[in-house]
Amino acid sequence: MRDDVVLAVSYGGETEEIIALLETIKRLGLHMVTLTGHPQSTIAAASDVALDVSVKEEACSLNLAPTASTTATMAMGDALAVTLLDLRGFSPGDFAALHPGGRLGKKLCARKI
Amino acid sequence: MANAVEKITNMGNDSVILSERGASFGYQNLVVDMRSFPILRKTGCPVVFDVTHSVQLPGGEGKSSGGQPEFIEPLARAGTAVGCGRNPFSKFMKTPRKPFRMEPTLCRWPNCPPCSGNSHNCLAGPRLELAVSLDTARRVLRIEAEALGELLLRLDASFEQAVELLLACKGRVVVTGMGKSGLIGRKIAATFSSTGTRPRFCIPRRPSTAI
Repeated sequence: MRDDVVLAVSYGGETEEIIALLETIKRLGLHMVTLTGHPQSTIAAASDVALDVSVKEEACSLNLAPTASTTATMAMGDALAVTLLDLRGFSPGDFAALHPGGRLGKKLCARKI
Repeated sequence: MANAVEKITNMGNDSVILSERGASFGYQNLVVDMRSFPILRKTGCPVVFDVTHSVQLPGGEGKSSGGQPEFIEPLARAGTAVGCGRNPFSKFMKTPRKPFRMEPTLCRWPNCPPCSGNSHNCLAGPRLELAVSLDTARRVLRIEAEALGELLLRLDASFEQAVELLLACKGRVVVTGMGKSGLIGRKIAATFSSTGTRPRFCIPRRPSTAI
């Protein structure tokens, strides 16, 4: 548990439920990365690293419903995942070991036979 | 138009919506000056575009008005181009509600989108709405693509620091978030697990047990 790293997702950076956790995170000495659209927010300030995923405007006609911001956040998550994959030297075989089922897993496992 | 708005609001009515519906041009003709949209918007009032009124030819059929429905679509598109269309109610067109069981000649208005006259819905209505909805879809995709473009330009050393922390993680990466951020968090956790990073998704509800 103390070896864990927290990745918080909060576009506004003021999610009460996450703010309630900040003290526990600090007490356990956990590192924290936050994906946020507000780098000056409470959660961003409490993080070791805050990645800025802010967008100029939402795609919603009323500029309200999270649309562009959720896309940006998800893309940043992909950027992290793929960068980590590269740095770990993750191979298709590793992927197959984790995903024996499903279309992708079958494709990879069949290649090995 | 600012004076007209002031006159109405001075009487105590703040719910003013301005409509562009074409201005008389010569005889039996209306034109839409696209400059009117930014000008009307300056009043601070919502602006709507009455597209079908704009293609009316007043008195164009002798004793009744004529119309040029073939120009509904280009005008609706032009309205979108000048920013009238961010709000679902900002452009409208009149179509006969239930043209079925009526003779086509009876249900046709000269300035309404062409309709078959025997279907439950006016055929041109949905077709035109489809054209406008493609515009909306294009706008959504463009805004989201631009958002990603800006993300790309903004990438800096903080990303490397984040990667460093996550790479050094000997336990699990505890992903957390509420609402839509929570859903995005779940997707990120799932992608981590496919790509060799061990995640655990937590709903941040009970601080005592969440971590």
